[in-house]
Amino acid sequence: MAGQEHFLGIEPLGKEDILGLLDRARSFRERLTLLPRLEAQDRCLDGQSVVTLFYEASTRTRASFEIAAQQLGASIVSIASESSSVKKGESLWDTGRTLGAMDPVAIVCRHPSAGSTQLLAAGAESVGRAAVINAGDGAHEHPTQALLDALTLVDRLQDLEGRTVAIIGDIIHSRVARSNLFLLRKLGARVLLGGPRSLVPDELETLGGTIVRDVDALIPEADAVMMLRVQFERLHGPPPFPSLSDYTRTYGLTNERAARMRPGAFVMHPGPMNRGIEIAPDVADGPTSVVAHQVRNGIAARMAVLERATGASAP
Amino acid sequence: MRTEFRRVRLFDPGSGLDQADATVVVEGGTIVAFERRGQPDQLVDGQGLLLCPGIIDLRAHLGQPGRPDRETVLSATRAAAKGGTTTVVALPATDRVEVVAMLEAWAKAAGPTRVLPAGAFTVGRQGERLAEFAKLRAAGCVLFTDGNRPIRDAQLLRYGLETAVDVGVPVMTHAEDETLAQGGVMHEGAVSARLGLVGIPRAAEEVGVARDLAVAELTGAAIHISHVSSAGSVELIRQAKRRGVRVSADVSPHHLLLDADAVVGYATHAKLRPPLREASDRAALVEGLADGSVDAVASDHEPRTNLEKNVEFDAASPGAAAIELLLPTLTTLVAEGALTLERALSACTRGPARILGREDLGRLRVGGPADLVLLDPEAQWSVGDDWQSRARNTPLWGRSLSGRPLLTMVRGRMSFADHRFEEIQ
Repeated sequence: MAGQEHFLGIEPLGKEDILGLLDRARSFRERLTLLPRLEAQDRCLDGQSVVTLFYEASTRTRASFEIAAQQLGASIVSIASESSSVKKGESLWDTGRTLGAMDPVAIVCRHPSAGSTQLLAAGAESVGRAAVINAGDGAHEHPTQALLDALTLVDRLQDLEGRTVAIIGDIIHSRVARSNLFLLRKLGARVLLGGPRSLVPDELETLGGTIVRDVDALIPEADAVMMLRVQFERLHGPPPFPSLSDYTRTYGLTNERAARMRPGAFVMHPGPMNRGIEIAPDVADGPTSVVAHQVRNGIAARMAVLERATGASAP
Repeated sequence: MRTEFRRVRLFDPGSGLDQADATVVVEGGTIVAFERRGQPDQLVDGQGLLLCPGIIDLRAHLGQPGRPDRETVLSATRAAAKGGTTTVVALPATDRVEVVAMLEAWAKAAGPTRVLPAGAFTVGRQGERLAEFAKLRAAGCVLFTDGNRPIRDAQLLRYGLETAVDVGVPVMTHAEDETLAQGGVMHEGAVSARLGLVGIPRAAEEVGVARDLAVAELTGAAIHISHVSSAGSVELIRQAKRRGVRVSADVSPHHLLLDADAVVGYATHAKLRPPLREASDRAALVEGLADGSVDAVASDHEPRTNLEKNVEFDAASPGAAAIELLLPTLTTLVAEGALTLERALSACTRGPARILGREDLGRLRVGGPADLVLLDPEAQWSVGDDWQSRARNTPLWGRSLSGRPLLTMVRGRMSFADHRFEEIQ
C-alpha cells in the first residue's frame, strides 16, 4: 500500500491530479454499472475502517461517502457529532489524535469552520496514518462535490477548456462554489458568477471567476448553470435581501430565465435545493436538469478520492 | 547608589536631545546630571549605544487578576522590561478600587516596570452607565476605557468625555460598529474570500472612528482611539486633527509589520481584533506614524494559551502577545527606512506620555525619574530569542527584527540587562 495523503481541498491539486481522479471515478462507475457490487479483488479497503465524522447535518454527502467506502470493502464507523459531547470551541486537534490512534484508514470530516479539517489532520498525523478527507469545511472547500460536478460536466461537455460555467446564488458562503472555482479554472473553463452583491462581493473575482451582475445577461452565456441555495444558517444580522420572492425575481432560475439558456445547456445543483426560491420546480425536474446524475456520480468520485487518499489501489 | 552612563548617544525627542558621547548620572531613582560627578558606585560604558527614555506602553493585558494561565504581572512586566518598556498601562480596565489596589500590590512586588491601572469607562464594561471616574482616579487609574468593547451609546460617550475633562483623565476607545463587524473573524478582502472566513470590513472600524471623532468634536474633549487598523481611519484622524479635534491614536506592532496574508493557512496567531488588513493599510499606518497623525505605538498585548489558539480559526480567541516587541518593532521600521529615529522614539516615549498627561514620564531631564533604556538600534535578533512572556501567541515568532534593548532601568534600578551588562546588575 502506497503512502496516505490527506485530501483537504482542490486548491493544492494540479490539473493532472484532477484528471487522474476523474479517470479513476469513471473506471469505478463502469464497474458498478456492470455489477451491483465491486468484485473482491477490487475492494482495496477490505478489512479497513473508515470513520465519518459529521459536525453538520448532511444527507447526501454522508450517504455517498459511506456507500463509496463500503463498495471498496471498508467498514464504516459513523459519528454524528450533533449529539456527541463535542461543543463549540473544543479542539478538533484532540479529536484527530483520538480517532487517529484507532488507526482507521481514513477519517471523512464535515465541520462548520473553515480550515478545520487541517486541524483534524494535524492531530491525526501526530499518532497514526489515517488520511483526513474533507467533506466540507465551513465556507472553504467541498472538494469531492467539485469532483463529482466535474465528472458530470465532462460527461456532457467532454473537454472543459474554453467552456463556460455559471454559478449563481450565495457564493460567499459556499464551499461548493470555491472548490468548483478552483477546479474549473484548473481545467481551463470560464466561470461566471451571479447573485446579490451581499452574497457575491467583488473580491470573489480574485479566485478566478468573473462576476456578471445581471443574471438575465449571464444565463444565455453558459454551457452549464449551477444554482446554489442561500445559506441562511451562515448569515449574520438582518436578511441581506427584502424577501424570498424578491430574491427569486432578481436572481432565481425561473422558467422564463431557463428558457433563455443556450441550446444544449444544462442545470446543476449541489443540493439541498430550495424549490421555488433559487430554482423553479419545473426546471429542477425538467429535461435540462442533471441533478440526479450529479448524485449518482458522487459515489464514483468519492471512491476515487478514498483510493487516492488511503494510498490503496484497486486494479 | 550612584550610577553613571558614559559614552552614550543621548536621544530623547521629548527634550529635543541628540547628543553623542554623553554622560548621564542617576542617583536615588532620579537623573541628577548630564556630566560626570566624581566616582560612581556603578559605571556603565555605553560604547556609543543609544540612551533613550524608557518606553511607555499604553495598552497591555497582564493576565491578572483572573487569567494567570495566560500571563502574570511578573511575567508580563519582565517581558516588558526586556523590551525596553518602563511603564505599562494595565488592562483589563476595572471599575473596582480593590482590583486597582491588588494590581498595584502585585506590581510593587514584581517590580520590573511601573504598572498604571486602566479604569473602566462604564460599570462592568457593560456600556450602560459611567464608572466612577473620580473615585477610580483617586485610586490610581490613569485612563478610562472599555477595552475591546466600543461604547455603543453615543450619548453615554458624550457624557463620559465631558466628565473626563473635569476629572482630568484621558479616555481611550475601541472604535467599531459592531453590526458591520458581526460574525467576522478576519479582514474582509481577497484572503477572507479565498479562505471562506467571515470578513470584517474596514468600514466597521471607520464608522466607529468617525462617530467617536464627531462626539469628541461636539464636546471639545480629548479622545484617544486605540489600535487603528485601516488607511481610512488614519485619514479620518488626520483630517480631524487639522480641524482642531483633540484626538490621539495608537497602532499595534502587528498592524505595522503584518497584513492579512499572515492568516493564510488558518494561522490563529494572526487572528487579531481589529484584524490585520492589507499591505496598503499597513503602509498608511506607517505613514500616519511618520507624519504624526498616529501618535503612539502600543503593544496591545493580549496573551493567550495554546488551548485558546490551537483550535478552529472561528473558535480561536483573538489577540497576540507583544509586550516585549514594542520598541523593537519601531527600530525595525527605522532600519527599513520607513521612520526616522526621532518619530519612532517619540511614538513610544513622548507620544504616550502626552496622551496620559504625564509630562514627567517619557523624557530624560535632570530632576526627572531615571526610567531609561540603553538600546542597540541595529542589533539583529529573532522573535522568540530569550522570550519572556508566559504566552507565546505571536504571529511574529521567528521574524527577524532590528534593534534590541540591552539595559532597562526603572526608577534608577536595573530591571533588565543583556548578558553584556549582566555583571553590573
